[in-house]
Amino acid sequence: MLDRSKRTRMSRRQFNALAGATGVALGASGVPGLALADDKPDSAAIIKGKEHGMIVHNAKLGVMETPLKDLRKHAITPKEILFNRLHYPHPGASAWQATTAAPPDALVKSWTIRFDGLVQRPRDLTIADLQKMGMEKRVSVIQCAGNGRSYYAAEKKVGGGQWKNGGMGNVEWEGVPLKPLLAELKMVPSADALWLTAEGWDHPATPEGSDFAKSYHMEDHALDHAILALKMNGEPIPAVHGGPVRLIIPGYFGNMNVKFLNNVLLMAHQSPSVFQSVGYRFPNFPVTPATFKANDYTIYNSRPTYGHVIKSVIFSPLPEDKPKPGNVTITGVAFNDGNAKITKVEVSTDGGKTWTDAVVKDGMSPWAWHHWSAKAKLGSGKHMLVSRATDALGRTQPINGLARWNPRGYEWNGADHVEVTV
Amino acid sequence: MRAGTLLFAAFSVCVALTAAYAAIELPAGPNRALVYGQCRTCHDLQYLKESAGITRDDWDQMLISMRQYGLRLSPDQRAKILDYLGTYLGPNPPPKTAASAPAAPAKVDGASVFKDQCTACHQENAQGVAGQFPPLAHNADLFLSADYPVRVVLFGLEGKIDVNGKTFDSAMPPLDVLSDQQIAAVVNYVRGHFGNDALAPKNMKPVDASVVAKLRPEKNTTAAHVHAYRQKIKGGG
Repeated sequence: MLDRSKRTRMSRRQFNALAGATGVALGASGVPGLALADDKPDSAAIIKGKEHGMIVHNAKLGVMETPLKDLRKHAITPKEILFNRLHYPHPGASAWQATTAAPPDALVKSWTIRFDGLVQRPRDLTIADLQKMGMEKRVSVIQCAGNGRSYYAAEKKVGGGQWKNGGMGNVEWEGVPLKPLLAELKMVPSADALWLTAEGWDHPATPEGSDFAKSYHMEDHALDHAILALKMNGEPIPAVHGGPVRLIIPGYFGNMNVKFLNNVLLMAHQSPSVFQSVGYRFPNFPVTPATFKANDYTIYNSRPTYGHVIKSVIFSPLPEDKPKPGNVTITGVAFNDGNAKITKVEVSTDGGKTWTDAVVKDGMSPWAWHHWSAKAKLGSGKHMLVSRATDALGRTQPINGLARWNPRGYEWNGADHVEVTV
Repeated sequence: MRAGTLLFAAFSVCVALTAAYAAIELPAGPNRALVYGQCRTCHDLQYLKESAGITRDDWDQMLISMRQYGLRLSPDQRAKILDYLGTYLGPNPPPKTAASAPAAPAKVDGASVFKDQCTACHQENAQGVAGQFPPLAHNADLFLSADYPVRVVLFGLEGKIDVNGKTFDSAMPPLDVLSDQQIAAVVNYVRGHFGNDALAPKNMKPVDASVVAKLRPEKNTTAAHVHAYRQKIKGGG
């Protein structure tokens, strides 16, 4: 099973050739009318299999979020509407990523994950190797660290995709638990191997660019629940969501869940990738636009965007629902990093002057989102609906999310505000 | 039958291709073309448009980040790009001036157009990047027809191609933001350098701006059409 000698790690070139040979092409949706000049192409044309009308942030990189009116329809977010964010372009030979279909068979068969680093016995594992092992399910919210970035503009606009709240979904993953797997591999790591680095197959357009990698301290308890996921919502992970294999750390922000996993390194230090050392980080102390800039991050003054900070989002009513005067049920979801139970969601219909407790239903797992609902009576006119979640550790959402302004616009979790006109 | 198949293939690629490149336009202003030439290697221009309104200092930070992701600019290019971004995509952009045709540079220089528009992908030595961007050096395809490279620059090129025995499957955006003179100059420059001069057929003259002007109105031509044209004149599917 773990015979390394017979397998060598596939180079990207070989990989491209293979993907090309299987006839994978960037999905042409066959949808007419996409050629409209100075208009953004439809989400269904950018990634084959996505629904029409998702909110596109970058066509070339396949970056898009889910309108809340679609997101709220499903207990488990289907692949057709799940948000998407790739870091590197995927034209031509890399176009196997631009589809919600399963990765091509030939590619899956040749996929190898290298386990290496400060170990006496490096290993290679194929997808077939993983499939023979015991698999476990994890329902978890997956959320872009930049979800809600656009709301920071009220303090000072932050560059980058202007995400609203649709860069998230509630997803069921299935795969091989990481920690038992590492033990079973008997790689004999050095006592100095304190960090686990995960790298994906995707790569920058030019060799000067930094490769994507994320590092986790071996004592990070979140790794106890991590899996090498092969399935998403019961089917092979779609290529565009990181298939054929993705490292899933339940409760962690999207970028920490490395797609197209092909390298697991046990090292004395964190990866030098800028995606670990500068990007996707959050300052360790409150900052202002005057005191902290987008490239002031170091591994000492900041931390990676680890677990979801507690958050609630109002799903109904949305402004477009145009609720009628009278009794209205306000619904939404709440979630955190899974380390403590969500104990309370408070709802206000007057911009935060008065609050009532919503009824919170347990989620499918500690990392899943939890549905909540509250009844209210709304008269004619404008109403500012607000929701705020709290967990058993007393962690709660700031009423004013701008208190957590940061120059890359991550981890927005201000109490959700939705203004409706009745 | 073969031609029919080719046409069908060209059509299917066409749909995909319009998806790959959103036709995003940035406000007109000095050095906009340089932004088009440097920033689309990795992402389309919506990234810039969505960020519009951030300060010049924030754009400066953005350029630091982009360097980490692989962008390489000369100090002069960087200063020009920062000026454009800080001004036209800054917090207080100047009002749109009607048809403010940028003053045509006194002398159009093929070498500087190459540096500003081509090197981000094809590299300064025109060797390209293996598996990503084809080389322009020692590239006989530049002479497939008198106006083939003009079409590539004007309308882009997307689809699988073979260059000197290596396969590339990538997407080049249209560079129609360049003037007729600039496109003619850069085509002649590349044809005359990087070992290409030796490959030039005796009877092929340098292209004139009028060649570009004649092709430019073909608004419906896409990068997929250019790919089909290439396959047709190169012979082989």
